Amino acid sequence: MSRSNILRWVSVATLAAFSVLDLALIGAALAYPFLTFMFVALLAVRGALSALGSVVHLLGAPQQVSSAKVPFLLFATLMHFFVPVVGFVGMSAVLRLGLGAQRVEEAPAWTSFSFEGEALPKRTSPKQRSITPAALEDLLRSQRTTPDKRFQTVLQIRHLPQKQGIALLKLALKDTSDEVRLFAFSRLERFRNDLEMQSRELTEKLTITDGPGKPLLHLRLAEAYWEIAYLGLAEGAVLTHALKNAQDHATAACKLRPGSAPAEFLSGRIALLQKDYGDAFGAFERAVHAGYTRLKALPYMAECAFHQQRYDDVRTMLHEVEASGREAAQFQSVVEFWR
Amino acid sequence: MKTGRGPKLRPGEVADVTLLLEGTYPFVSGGVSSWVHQIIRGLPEIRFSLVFIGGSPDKTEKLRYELPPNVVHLEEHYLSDVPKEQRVVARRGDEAFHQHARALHDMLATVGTVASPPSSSWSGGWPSLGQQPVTQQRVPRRVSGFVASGSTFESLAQAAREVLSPGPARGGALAEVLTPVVADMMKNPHGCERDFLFSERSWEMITERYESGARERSFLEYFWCVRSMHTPLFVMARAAESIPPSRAFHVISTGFAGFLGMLLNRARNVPLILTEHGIYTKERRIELLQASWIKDEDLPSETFGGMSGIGHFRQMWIRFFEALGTMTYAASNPIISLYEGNRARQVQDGADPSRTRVLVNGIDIARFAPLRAKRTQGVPRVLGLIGRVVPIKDIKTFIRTMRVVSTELPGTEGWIIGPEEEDPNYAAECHDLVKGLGLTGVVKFLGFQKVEDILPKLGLNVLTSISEAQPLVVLEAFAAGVPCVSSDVGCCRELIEGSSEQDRAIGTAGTVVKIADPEATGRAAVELLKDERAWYAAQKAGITRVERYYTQAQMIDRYRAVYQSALGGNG
Repeated sequence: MSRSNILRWVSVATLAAFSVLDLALIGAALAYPFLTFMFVALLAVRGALSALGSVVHLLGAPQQVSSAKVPFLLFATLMHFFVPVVGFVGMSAVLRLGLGAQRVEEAPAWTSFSFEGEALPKRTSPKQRSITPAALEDLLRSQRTTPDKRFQTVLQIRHLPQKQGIALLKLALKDTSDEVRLFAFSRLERFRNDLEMQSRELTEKLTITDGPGKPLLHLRLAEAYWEIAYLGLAEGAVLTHALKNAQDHATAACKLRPGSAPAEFLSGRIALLQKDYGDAFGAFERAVHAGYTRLKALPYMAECAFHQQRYDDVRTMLHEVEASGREAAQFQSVVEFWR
Repeated sequence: MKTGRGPKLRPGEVADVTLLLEGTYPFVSGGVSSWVHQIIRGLPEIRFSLVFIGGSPDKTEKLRYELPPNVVHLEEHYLSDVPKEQRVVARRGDEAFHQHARALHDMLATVGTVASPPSSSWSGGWPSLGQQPVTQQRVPRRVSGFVASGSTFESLAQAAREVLSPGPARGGALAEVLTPVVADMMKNPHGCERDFLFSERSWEMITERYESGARERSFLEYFWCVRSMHTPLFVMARAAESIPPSRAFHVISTGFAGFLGMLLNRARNVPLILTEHGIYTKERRIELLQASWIKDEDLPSETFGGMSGIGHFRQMWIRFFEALGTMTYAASNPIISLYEGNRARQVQDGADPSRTRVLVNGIDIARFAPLRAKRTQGVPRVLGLIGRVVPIKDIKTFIRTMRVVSTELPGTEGWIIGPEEEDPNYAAECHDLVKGLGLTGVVKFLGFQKVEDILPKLGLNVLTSISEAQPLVVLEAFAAGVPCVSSDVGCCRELIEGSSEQDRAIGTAGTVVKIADPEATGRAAVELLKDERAWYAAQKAGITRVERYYTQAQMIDRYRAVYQSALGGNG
């Protein structure tokens, strides 16, 4: 038997003896409260008992406690002393469980959370909020700013949302300074390349996928082409081509999985950009029918109605937006316009 | 060094001119290589020695050009060359070398420099080394490692111009600190390299500079950044030791080749001529700003110097190449560019204005003029992009342009004529883009072809590059009777619209559009293809312009004069 084990058994035996004495003293103190010495004896025995109990716990404690022996002993002794009801047994159980039990590693809740629909707004830092697209545009357009300053401006564009940033980068492509132009070009190419690579990978996957995964791949491909168009990375015939591809894939997604709200909604937005207002309106209606938030679809539906010259419908839809209360704040100016 | 390919000079033999060629002739084809080939062939009386500097030997498997008989020597050096066996022995390091290197870095870090006089008797009227000590004024700047952070465009040299008053002493300061470093490196290049890699003094210097300028960043990143940045310089020092004697050196860029030229100029007291086609420092800067291998973890909080928003290590690399440029300009005379815009840029980057000059390129008209007769009647519905399939040529914009053109003019083809080996990933992306845009069969990749075979079949020569100087392919196409639609880069506008009033009176030889604009490029191409009168007018203007201003004979005469001046002064 090792030395620490002998020490542990001796401590436990002594503890048991003191515990008996402790109980006897408690009994005596309850029976004869006028005997002051009995209280003093009780406190002394409890103190000794608590300290001894702490030592026993320390001997049986896990390895990680060894780096903080003194705080542990102090803590355990005080707990033993001031928790007479739970007492030694209760404390043993608590410490044993608390220190010895294996911790369960749980996956953070956010990693297992997923949802369909629009992305959450990105968090912006105070610094980012201080950069406005209009201010950067002024700097880029000004004839008085030095190339160095304009280059700094192009660097700051990275803090803007993509769509606004891309519009400014396209403006910077006309700059007289080579560096400004070329840096803007390289940033735009990076955006384009990312989306093109995404399209290539999804297209490859689509050719080897069959069954339930296919509608989602079509939807993702539609989104990739849509991004190229929506962000302003294509113009003219290239834009037309991107929108056509986006619509083809969105339509395929809708056909393969009827009643898919995100696919119908995206199809509506693509059709809207293609100026197919009737198709767009129909797609938005189907999206709402499939569960898409009506309030979010209404402004787009109103836009379709406007282009179709159904002005009464526009008013009705925007009133509906207004009536929905606080959530409609972002459309307030549009509603005001139509009053 | 790789040996065995090409001719070799025997010990004691001397070349007239040694061309220092980084990543180009004779192992890489392209505009600069064609130009080098033209110069060598056009000056048969000059004995040329070629020193090729490459990244690694596996990319230079074969010679792309047949070497003319007046090439008397060829040797290759690779930046990836490290001694095969290196015994790591603890060493204190040479105190003097480190003191000199420290002084050079301090100067490059705190104050820019203007070009110093070349160390040859052919000094263009400039005082020789150290003749006029300069009162060095320092611009307070935060030192960010071996090279300093500072403003983005106003390079170190520009900063120097602000603090050093003009006068005969300009440029002396850099020469003073550069000379002892060169002397140390040339005396014992291997020893200096070992000192840099393994000595305590080197370690002290790195840690000291890290503490003073980069301590918030990862030391490991900093350490390896400094090492990988400087190691090629010792490869250049070893090369300088082995290069055969020459009466003049001619470097075609700044960068590592420029650094080698500077070493040779200082160590051997031989003239150094610099011809920059593009501006190396600018091109490196753009590459580095895009490079994904440099981490920018510290981006959001980075606001020192004038480069706020550019990560620390990225700045170090940019500054490094700027410093190489500054040192090359300091040693070169003359400093040649191809058009006024680039000359201005060289001056902005530290070249002494009085040593700069513009010598435009020219082409062999006799080679291209007969191609006009081979053209068929009418305007072929073929757009050709002649160039390597690499990002700087922006092949993707050409492909997108073809989407626009084929929508407007179905049946029109787009040919991409150039090798794809240099950047296979980019080439693959281009092929994918063709498929993605539904242009299979419309856009064709023809690989490397003889321009004489291709030019008669083209309706338009299209150049979508994002950076050029004076592209030979535009001149060649003009001479062959093909108008051009080009992005507004380098001197393309001058080539297409004319530079002087007299030149502009000739008319426009095509259309200039802004970079990365497929819609505008496509529209311009369609307009020219549809309107035969406009097309023929552009053809005529191109032919007249190239025959009047851009002939090979004119160019060769100018370079003959440059070489005679250099060799005469040294001979």
